[in-house]
Amino acid sequence: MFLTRSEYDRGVNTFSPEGRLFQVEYAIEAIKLGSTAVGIRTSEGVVLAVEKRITSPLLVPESVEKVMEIDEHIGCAMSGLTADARTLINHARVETQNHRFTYNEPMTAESCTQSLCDLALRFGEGDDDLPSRPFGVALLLAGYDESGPTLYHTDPSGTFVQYDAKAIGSGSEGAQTSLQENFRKDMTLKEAETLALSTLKAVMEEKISATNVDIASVAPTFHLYSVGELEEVIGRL
Amino acid sequence: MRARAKRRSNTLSTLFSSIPRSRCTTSGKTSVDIRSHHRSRRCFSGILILTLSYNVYWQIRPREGSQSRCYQKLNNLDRKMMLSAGPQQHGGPTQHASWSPYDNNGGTCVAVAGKDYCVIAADTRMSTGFNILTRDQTKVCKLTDKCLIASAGFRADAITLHKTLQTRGIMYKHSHNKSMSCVAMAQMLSNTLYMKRFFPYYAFNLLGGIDNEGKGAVYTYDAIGSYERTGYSCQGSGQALIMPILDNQLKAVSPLLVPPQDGATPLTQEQAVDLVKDCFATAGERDIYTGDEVEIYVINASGVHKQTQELKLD
Repeated sequence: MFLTRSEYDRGVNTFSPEGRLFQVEYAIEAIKLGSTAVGIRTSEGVVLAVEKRITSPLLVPESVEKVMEIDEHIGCAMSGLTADARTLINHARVETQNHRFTYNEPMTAESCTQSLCDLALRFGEGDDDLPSRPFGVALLLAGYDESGPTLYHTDPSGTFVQYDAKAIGSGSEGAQTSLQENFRKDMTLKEAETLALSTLKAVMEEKISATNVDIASVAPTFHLYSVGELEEVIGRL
Repeated sequence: MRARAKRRSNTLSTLFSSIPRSRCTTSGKTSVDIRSHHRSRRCFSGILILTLSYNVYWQIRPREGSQSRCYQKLNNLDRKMMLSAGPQQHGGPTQHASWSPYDNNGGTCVAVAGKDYCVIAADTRMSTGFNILTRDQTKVCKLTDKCLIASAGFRADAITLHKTLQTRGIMYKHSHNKSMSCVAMAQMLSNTLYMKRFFPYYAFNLLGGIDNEGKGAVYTYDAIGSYERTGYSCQGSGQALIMPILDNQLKAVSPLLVPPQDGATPLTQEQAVDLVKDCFATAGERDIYTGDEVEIYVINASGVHKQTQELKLD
């Protein structure tokens, strides 16, 4: 075996002899550079909290958008290459609206996640409409459907798993440990808001403020918190 | 009076006012008078009057002895309009101007929704023209555990439509891990019909089942997908006979009421089944396309139950 690892780095869809897809693994690595995002599921609904990196005092904080609405009942937080996330979210928005058009009912969060993950693996096929490389972004999908509140995590390999509480991004290791210690099944939405922000606060380099975090809840519809609501939550920390 | 009108003007309005009067008269003499009266005007009003007087010929034809001439005119027209159905003389492609991709196989479907059940029924006769093709062709198709469809009209189109819906239902179950609800099926059927807006399925559909809240639901459609959720409905050849009975027995709730009212009928399941049986017996007396047997499906919390009732065979 004289082939080196780097030769398997070129084709995005080429397995290495050990059975690995390096480009996908590198994409997963890219997420670890992204800002931290946290999702917590309670019986009342799901809370999403993200850190916004304000790299310059001249940057307009509102222009950093890391929590987005997919449909009335599905929200999404992202970490990694946010530009890639926009492609995915646009796809999810089209899918959920198509579902409403065809079936006159909201799409379940699981079906929406599934359709996102189907797209996540369709890279490097040579199709002009599809990307040539894996999406370098992980998503936390918060949904509220007939099965109640749900939280899904997707990664560039197109794998999706359901969680009670999940952290992604650069501070994910520490944040996940903190969530594991503090999460309870019987949490209220309010408690979840506080836990999400205190978890973020612990892993953030800057001091937490209403401008460098975003919170959204899906309970049962998507709602992005205003500055006032954010300050109220920060005040509880 | 006619003479006065003649003198007064040659305008079309005069002509219109004189024609109905002539139609009303019973004597052949008057009709002939009118004919000559029209002829005298042709030079003034050209083709329009010619057409009108042709119409007068057509209307008075059976009463007077000028049939031969009228028939000749009509036959010439027919010959011009209809292309020969047989092989062409000049070896060109055979054209069938009278051929249609559609047939009407008749049949009637009725559905009644109650608080926690839905009855959906259809007769089993399949006809074309004056012929009965079969006495036991079902019009009802089970789409999911809680949703059935019944279609009258063109059987071939209905079969294809049912097959499409069943397949879509199974695909839905695979991709969404749940059975398709009646509400979802109703919307999908509408879209499926509208997708063939310019070459429609010649099928008149009723969708019946239990909705997400466990209430009975009836959805009624036209051939191109316009649909409405109602408490009861009827489609097919016996529609004109049965719908008035249903309206009389189960007053429909206006869809314009705010907030929207539940359209489910107040009948018990047994009463609804009896009403449906009566409806089919009545339609079977007068409609030659309805008869032989009626299949009645009741959908409720315990599942789908089928029963049949014999109808007249004539």
